Amino acid sequence: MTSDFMQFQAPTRIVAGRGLLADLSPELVPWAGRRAAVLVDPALAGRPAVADVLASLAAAGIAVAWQHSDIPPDSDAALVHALAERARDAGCDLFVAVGGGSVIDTAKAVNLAAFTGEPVTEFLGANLLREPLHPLIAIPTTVGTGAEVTAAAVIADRTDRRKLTLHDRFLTPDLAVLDPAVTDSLPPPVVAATAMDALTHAIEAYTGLQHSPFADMWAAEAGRRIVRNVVTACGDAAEDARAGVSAVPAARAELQLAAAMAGIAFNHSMVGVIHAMAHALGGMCGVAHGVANSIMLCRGLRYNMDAAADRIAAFGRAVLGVPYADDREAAADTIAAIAQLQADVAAVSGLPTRLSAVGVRAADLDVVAARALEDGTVLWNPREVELDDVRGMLASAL
Amino acid sequence: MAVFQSAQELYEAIAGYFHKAKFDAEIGPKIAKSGLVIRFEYSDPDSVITVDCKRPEPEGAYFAIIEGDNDLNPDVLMTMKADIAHQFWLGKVNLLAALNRRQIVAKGPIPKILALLPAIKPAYEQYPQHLREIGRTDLAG
Repeated sequence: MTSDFMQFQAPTRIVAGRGLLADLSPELVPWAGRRAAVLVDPALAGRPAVADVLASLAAAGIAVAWQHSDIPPDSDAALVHALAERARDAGCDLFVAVGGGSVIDTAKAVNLAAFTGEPVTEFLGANLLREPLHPLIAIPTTVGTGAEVTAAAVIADRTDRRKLTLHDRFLTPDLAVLDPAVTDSLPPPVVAATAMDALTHAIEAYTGLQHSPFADMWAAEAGRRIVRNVVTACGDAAEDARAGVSAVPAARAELQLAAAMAGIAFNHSMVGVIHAMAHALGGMCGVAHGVANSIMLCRGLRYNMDAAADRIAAFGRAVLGVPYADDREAAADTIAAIAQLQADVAAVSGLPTRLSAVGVRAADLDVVAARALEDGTVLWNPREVELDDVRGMLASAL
Repeated sequence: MAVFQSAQELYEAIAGYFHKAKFDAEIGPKIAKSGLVIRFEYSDPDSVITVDCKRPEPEGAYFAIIEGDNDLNPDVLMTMKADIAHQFWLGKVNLLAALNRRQIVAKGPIPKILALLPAIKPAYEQYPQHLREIGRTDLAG
């Protein structure tokens, strides 16, 4: 059954293509004369892609007023406010984020604090803004976040080891630049983790309570591209280049598109219990978001079988070619196929498959389960989420 | 025409129900566990109801209900028309839709607010029952 309310808005202009960053200036014309703050993933500092972005900004008549390349994996509110103050002092009225989800989310939060002059904690809630912020250009360098097209930003709360969620349509980037060249140097485990994150976005968007025909379309197409390409994408791009072939870069380009598509999907349909557990594992135990999602993905789907077999089955038929007419059979087959995919990805990338392998201890599970239950995403899960069940899923993944 | 013709009518209906719910053994403990101070600001008619889980009163209650403006610093501020509030407690509002359409504006830790929704499901039957008990069958849906 379709939800009694649906909406669709994908305001981000998306440009995609290998080599786009070499001269991005045509895309930047609307912001000529502005002063840019450029936030860069520390792993990319000094890389040609960053130099290309800076050159493109200059060519478009945009001054780089301030550049910062020391963004941690999980920015907290104190850092966001310090960065916002520097952006305001530098007179920045345009933000450019080059990096993974953490960098893009940080840029969203810094833009919010810099534009309003207020702490981001004043904007915890939903759709509190009444006017657009400074323009934001997002250049994702991983293949999973979707943050380049979403209205949400997650930052850390160090005092309580939680994640704070900002959600407002005016946080959505204005331009997303998908240049697969930036993924060539990604280590296979990062490709694997971020791609499994995107697959989780697609599946939870498709099976959640707020699924809609609009979001289904994006989720299914994202799923198809991920399933077809993720194992190949976990290969060694440099070795590929030496051999004179381009299978790995081509597969990563497909994943980059899929990540944005899955982002559009879950921006409308939300996510569910799998993300709730991943958020709690990230906040309490520092587990990388994509790794946590990957480990919990099939357990969450099995948990939802009784409530959403029809939706899991529909995803399997649309994405994996699952043949069975009976929903429960098809859903079971879908989950088995995803588990096999996960195993294949782990085999080629070293992606962890157990929580104990990423530092989670049995003693952590009670608090992680309680935090997961407090996560807003459980509300959109197709099955009502119970504490003991979450504790059980986490324990089975240890 | 607005559902409630005066703040007094709203307080009798919505706050009146909250006063019963604060003793309810099914709903009360779950709301109290949040530890939140939630301020509801309604318009048409203008009115304020605050749910204070930090200082429950009177004895035996799981939380306190304060009618009208007050100096408490809320963790969560929910702003909406009184008509929307009435529809919400009848179980007829899709919260995601209402938040997205700004029919309800929620300021504060959204996950903690959303986490309360499963706990208050019994309210969707208890609120219309309360309306019938106070003679407002016309509003009971």
